[in-house]
Amino acid sequence: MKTATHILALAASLSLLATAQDRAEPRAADAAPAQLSPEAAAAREAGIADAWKNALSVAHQISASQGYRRRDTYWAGRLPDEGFTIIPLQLYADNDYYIAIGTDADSQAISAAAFTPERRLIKTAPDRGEGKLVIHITPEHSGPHYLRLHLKAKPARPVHCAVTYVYK
Amino acid sequence: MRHLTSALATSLVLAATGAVMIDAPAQDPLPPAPPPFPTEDLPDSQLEAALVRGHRIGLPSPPEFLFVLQKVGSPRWRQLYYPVLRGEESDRSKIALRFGLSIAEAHIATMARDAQKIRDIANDLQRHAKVLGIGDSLSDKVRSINHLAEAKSWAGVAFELESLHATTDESLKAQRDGKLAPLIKTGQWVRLLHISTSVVSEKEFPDTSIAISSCWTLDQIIASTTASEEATVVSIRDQLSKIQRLWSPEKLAAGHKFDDALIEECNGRLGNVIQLFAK
Repeated sequence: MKTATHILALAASLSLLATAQDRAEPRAADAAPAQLSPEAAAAREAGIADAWKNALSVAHQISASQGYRRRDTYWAGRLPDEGFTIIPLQLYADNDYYIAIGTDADSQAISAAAFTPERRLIKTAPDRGEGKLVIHITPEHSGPHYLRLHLKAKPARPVHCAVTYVYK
Repeated sequence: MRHLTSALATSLVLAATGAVMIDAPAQDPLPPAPPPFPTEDLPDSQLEAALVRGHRIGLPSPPEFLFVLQKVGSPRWRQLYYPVLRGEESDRSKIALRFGLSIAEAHIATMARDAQKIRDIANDLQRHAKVLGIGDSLSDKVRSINHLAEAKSWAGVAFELESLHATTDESLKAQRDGKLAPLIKTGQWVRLLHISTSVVSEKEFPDTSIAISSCWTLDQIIASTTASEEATVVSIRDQLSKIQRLWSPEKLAAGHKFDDALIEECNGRLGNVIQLFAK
């Protein structure tokens, strides 16, 4: 009986892993511009898939090493060459969060900042790795927090990002 | 004596400062290091122009929300199960609402670590999915949820339930039933808030506004009802709007107290809304 339970648990874990891998190539959350050529559309899809892979890898790493839970939902899309992308995240005061940001560009090229529901800056510098950034947030109040992303300089090619988070 | 000590301290400071000034180059001081993070708060204009609206990531995940209730309220989840709702099988909007309610029930059963209940709910989900015409696209997910529950992999069940909601959304949109997709969100969140108002009314919570998750969450749920003008959905929207007025941000900002009576009123209204899923 114990062996059967172990086999079931193994199958379940494999199934969960397979699901996670299925979602490694997400569709962009922002609408793709209609006038994109097939090549540009393919490049966009590939950029978003790379960004998501990087976000997912850092989220998995934190989940596995520190027991955080990852939520299924993510945002993915292209960052504007100029201007901001602000993603709302409903966070709770009694939870602890790591926001995982993946990109297909150099992570140093991206500025990421988080804000409280009162739109005050959360003074936490993101940790950066190759193609990924992580922001640790311990909310003081429950409510919509804001993640602001933007490019520090006009890029030579389109830059894509994917965002998800883990909580404990 | 006090003057002497003060003068001594001042001269020590001056000496120290002087030493620094002597050691430092007289010209071309190093530019200040840029701050590791921006120093401004988020301006209204930026938020207005760049906020990503209507995306799923802006709503909390149900397990994350229930996790907070668990931490503070330690509810007895099994006592909070809702009886199975039966209703017309021909009204697809109500079936979408009941489908959402069943997903919420499955999340509650996950918190209760109740594999048998999850099996029962999985059957309901399959039945609803067949009527909605998405039975085939969800069958693998539902099977996976059952396996994970059997193996007591509760974090896996919670993750897969969230994923099931996303897959349902995509499947309905793919078959041009996009108007039904938001109603699943409505059904799920009405039930989750019904639960949270029950839990918060029974325990001392430091922040009672958790009963409705947040005004932002409530706004998102109301927005999910705007795609349909069917009588049931309009009634649901009216009821939710009344709750929204009770919990407005202005009242929160004015220090309005969200006491037991108000939370119970919301709980009653949400219970009435759930009844609309079956009538």
